[in-house]
Amino acid sequence: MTTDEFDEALAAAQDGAQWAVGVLWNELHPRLLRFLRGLDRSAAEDVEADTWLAAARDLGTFHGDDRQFRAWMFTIARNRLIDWRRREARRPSVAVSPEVLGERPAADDPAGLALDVVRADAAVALVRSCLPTDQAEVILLRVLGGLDVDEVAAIVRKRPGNVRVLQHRGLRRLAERITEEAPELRGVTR
Amino acid sequence: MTPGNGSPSGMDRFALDAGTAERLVTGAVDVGDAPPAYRAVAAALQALREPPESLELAGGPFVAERIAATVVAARTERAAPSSRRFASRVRVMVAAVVACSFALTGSLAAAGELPDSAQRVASAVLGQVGISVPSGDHEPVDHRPVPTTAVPKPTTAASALSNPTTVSPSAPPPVPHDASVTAPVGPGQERGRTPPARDSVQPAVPADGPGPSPPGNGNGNAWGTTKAAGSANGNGNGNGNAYAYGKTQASGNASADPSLALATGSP
Repeated sequence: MTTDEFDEALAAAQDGAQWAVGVLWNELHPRLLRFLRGLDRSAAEDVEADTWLAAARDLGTFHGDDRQFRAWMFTIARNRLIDWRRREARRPSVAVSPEVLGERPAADDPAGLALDVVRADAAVALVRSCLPTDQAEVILLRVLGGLDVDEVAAIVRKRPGNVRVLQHRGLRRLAERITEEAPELRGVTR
Repeated sequence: MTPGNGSPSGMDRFALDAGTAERLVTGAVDVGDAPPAYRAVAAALQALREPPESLELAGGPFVAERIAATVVAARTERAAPSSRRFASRVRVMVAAVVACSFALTGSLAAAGELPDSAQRVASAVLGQVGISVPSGDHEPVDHRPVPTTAVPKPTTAASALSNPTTVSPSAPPPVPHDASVTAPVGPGQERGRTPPARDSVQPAVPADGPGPSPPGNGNGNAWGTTKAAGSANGNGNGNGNAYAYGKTQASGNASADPSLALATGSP
């Protein structure tokens, strides 16, 4: 999406135009969902929905370009995830039996659709399983958000130097783990 | 000497410089061009960047509709409370201005610093609620300390006469050396009288006045100079102020007690 297209879509979305909101959602929803899944798979969908609702409430006050909009959205998503974790710490969730879940309606041909995202999903799972949260957060924000070190530092409230260190350690750790567990990770790297 | 994996001894197989790390996370390096130990990492990061697939975008129109509705609702909410907030702020500001004006006017009225007409109005209004402030009528103002409880000191007539009377320019005009004379006061005010001194060695006692006077409102003033020993008191019943001006030349005092000031005016 070009800058002009983004500006037009943002202005229309701030007026409540559904098509414009759809453009922004298609652009950012997959990245946000992957980012959240990389940090906490169980909360990703709920937190992502909260993120969009919070963004919708404050969309009228946002000013900036597409890069700043991405940073804004990822900031909201991260804050919502932190809130969700705090709530969960105070009130543990109740497990639901698989029999109940099996009766819930599903999208058409979910198995076939799931094949589309297996690679991205596997990559997210790799990051989540191999890296500590702070390193995974930095890597995901840089890759999925397309943000630079300073922008990531502002989101995670760390200094840029710390972000570079976390990024370097994360990449190295990923490389070591992939080498150690190559057979299990073959689906990701092919 | 090289270890079994072919890398030189002591060389870190996963060494990564800052430039390569930056190219990996930004996707500027292809998988094939990445360092051998990082090719799998480059592939994983590339998978993260893959465009969204159909499953990830499922339900988009419905979600967009909900989000758009939320945007419109939030915009409406933002517009409505802003006018209410503005009105509330205006009310608070007006109340603050009115309160400050009352406080300032009240302070000036209490100090008697308002213009005469305004002072009269303020006195009348505040008098209705039991607050007494100067009425704004011109009164002689003397900032000298008022001798209200002068202690009589026995002395001789000679020493008393040796002390000439001096009156400050701001004081009321001197009166003849007669402690029994009191100066007239301003218009509308009642007059206090100071009876003559009777005894040079007697301490100040309430002078024998003409008897109880009807209570009244007004100010009692005693101006003059006590020439000989004795005391000069202004007595009166009523509300008001009593002033005593003059100088005690000899033993005795010139005192005016507001509670004892003699009021000769009409109630």
